[in-house]
Amino acid sequence: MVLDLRSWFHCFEAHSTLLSQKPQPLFSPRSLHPPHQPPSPYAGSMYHGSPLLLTLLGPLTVKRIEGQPDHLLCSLVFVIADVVSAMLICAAGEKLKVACSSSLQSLGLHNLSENSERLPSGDFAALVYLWNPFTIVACVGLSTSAIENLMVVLSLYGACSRLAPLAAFGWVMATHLSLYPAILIIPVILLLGYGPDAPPRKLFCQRKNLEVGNSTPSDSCSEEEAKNQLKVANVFSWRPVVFFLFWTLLWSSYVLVLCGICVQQYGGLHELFKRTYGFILTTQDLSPNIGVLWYFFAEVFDFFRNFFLIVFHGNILLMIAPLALRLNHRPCFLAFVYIVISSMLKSYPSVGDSALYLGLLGLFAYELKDMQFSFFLFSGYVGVSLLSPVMHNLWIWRGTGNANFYFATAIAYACLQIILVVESVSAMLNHDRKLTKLYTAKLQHIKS
Amino acid sequence: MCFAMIITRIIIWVTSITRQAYYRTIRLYQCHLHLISYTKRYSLYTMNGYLLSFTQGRWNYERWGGFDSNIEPQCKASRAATFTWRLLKDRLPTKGNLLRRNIIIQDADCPLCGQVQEEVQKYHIKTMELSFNKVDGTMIDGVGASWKNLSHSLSGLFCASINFVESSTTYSAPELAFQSALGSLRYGTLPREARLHLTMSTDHSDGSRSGINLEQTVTVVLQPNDQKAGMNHKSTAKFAVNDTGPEDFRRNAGFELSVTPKRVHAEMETSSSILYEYPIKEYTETEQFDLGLTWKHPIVWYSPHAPLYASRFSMGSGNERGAIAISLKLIQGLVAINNVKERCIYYHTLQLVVDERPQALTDFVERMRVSPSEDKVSPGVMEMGFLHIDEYPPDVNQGFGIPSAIISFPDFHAELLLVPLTTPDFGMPYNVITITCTVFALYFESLLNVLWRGVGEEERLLKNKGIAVAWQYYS
Repeated sequence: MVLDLRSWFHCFEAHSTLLSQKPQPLFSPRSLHPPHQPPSPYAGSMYHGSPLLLTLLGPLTVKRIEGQPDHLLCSLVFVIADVVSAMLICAAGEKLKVACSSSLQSLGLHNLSENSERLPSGDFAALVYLWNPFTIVACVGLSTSAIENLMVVLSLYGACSRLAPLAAFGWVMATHLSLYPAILIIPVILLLGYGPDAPPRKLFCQRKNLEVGNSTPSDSCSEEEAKNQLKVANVFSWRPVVFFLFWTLLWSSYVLVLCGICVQQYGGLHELFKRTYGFILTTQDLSPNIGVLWYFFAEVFDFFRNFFLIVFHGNILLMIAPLALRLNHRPCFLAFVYIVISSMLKSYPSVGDSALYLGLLGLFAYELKDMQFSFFLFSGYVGVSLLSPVMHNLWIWRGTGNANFYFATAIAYACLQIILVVESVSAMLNHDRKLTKLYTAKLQHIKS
Repeated sequence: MCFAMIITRIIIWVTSITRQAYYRTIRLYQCHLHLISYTKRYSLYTMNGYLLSFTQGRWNYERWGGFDSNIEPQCKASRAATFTWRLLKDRLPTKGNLLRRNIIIQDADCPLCGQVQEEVQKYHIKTMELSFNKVDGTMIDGVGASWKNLSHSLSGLFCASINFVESSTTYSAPELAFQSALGSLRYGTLPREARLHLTMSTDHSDGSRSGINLEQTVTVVLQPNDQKAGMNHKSTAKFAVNDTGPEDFRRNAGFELSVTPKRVHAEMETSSSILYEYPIKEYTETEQFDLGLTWKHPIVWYSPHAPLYASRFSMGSGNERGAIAISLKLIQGLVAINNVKERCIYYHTLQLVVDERPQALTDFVERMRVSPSEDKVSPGVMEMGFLHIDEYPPDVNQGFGIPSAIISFPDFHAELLLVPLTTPDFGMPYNVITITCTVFALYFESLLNVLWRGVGEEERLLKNKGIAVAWQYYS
């Protein structure tokens, strides 16, 4: 049983350690040659990550404690990153809950407000993230997705708390570590401008018009307070957004200067961008992973390769505008949808990305309680998690299967993610529709 | 008229080889023949013929015997072996040989340089010199240009696919194994052809005469013709007038008989053989005749062991269990080259096992040079320098056979290794493309449908409620 578990973990390790292999330093205890310059971390095809991350984690992989595995300190860093991510998710959940309760009370929906307060969605999300087998597998496999997830959660927490420097730092570092969190700038700006998730803004407009129409002289003090509250809830605040952009520019310059210092003797920033972002955008490495792009670009003809690269990377950008227009009143949920889409369509996905969005899914447990196919999705995730190592074993180690066995599980995994994102968006829109219906009935009751 | 006939003959010769090349690629045999020391070998052994084995050099002669007559009718030499054989026997159709056989040709000079008469030795020397004369510019470009010229020249000579070693994905520039030519060395091998190892150096600064180390090997199976004097079990019988008894003959023979013969006959006329007579009628059913023959001196014939045996093989597969192992026997100051062209090689998982026990790398490996490999651009080169015999730690000597002399093997190579790759299914590129595009189309259409449908429904809902204030706000 222990051997099977080890085999299972190492099979996932094969998926997760794609971008996290680090070159070992030269091993010359009694070298007769004169000491020469150490090689570039981007020589060969071993490492395609951040030089700052390599500076942080490289010494930890070389240093070893007597009697312990070699990667103990590196594992400890990833464990700490996971724990801090869970704490930040919990804190963000608390802020979301307070904002949601305040919004519902301002609309007069006291019953819904009490129901929302009773459910601890932040704690639930943190527990889902920490106890997720994908999080554990990514940590055991020494994947750097734990640190990337930490930076994404840090930017979301900073935006929920209206802390522009913290949000800017998280967004800059997340974009620097991997390219795909760059699209999170839209929900972060919406969070800083409009605040956390709220019901549709048309309801607040209707309430303001109604209050203006039915004003009475006796309640002038409470009416002024209500008008100010509605005004605050409706207006976009440009001041935090400007602060955020300023701090983003500051952190970006600082990170670029540090990277320039690190890689100036290995080709400079141009070489860095080619080896990191160019490697992501051109999908050079065709080793098997849990996504579908490795097999697609292994089989596609070279003439059509650039066309399909543009199509697949454009699929992420195409859905940014419709989702932003439709879900701009719920920036945190918009960020969650963006994370699911990027984890599905990125060049080198891993189970660490699934751990992040499954943890964030717990934040919206109350709004998404009517989501369809939830049991089917849960069973599908469990099935793919169990079948994917089996198919990998059949193909690579035993040789009784071929690449199509493993590609079938990758296709099933992609379909599961599609169902998850479509049904979650549908459930959230249905929830907003229900709020609109309840508020409309309440207005009619007041009018009559 | 005679000149045209000569040209026609040469063309037929080339065409014949070219036509047969298609069939001979099905059977490719391993050739081992050391050209550098062929003079010495030629004097030691009178080579009347050679046999190319099917076993690709993996036949265990000392254990499984020396000759298999089943493969003799099918044995055919490869083109490189045929050329080398004719080269050694001086049977190549050079102009010197043509003139010597009274074939009239117009020009007797070498077609490459046009200075001396074309001969076998000068032919190769001139080829090498032509490769070196084209060296110009920087050293790196010089080595590359010389390498290309050499590979093309030799591919023309041997009618083989030696030009495959021209591209940068099949050769490497090791520095630890050949320390006499640092920086200006190219080492390339062909794993599928009759194994030709080409190493070339263009370093002229040391004053020594540089040349091409062209090694081909023919696997020669030897059968001893005569035995040693100590193994001679023939005995000279003494013929006496009076019969002294069989005891004397019993001791003189090279073997021992378990039963005393009744009568011993010595035939002196035809040969010096001895005839032992046992009348069978003297034995009955209960006491049967049982004769045992035992040699007094054991007869042992064995082939001498190689001073170093190296083999390389792949173990397991996949990212976790895959490994490439090099097995070395009689490790004495060895330099091993492992030219690996796989995709992801993790050098931090290098392990060293000495006498079935894992050891730390720092105790044995003196130098290690790692060139990180990049897919389809440059192969990964891993060189290890082991310690010499006097540098081993004392605890390793327990149970470790210490040889009597320290010998360095700088030019020893392990056999070439073909590592099987994980292949995609080449039969379904269209299936993969269509299924993946269908999945993404499903994602795009479903999500856009959910987003768009909600808008229209909400508009109709607000209209049906008939709220004047909301309608006024929208208009």
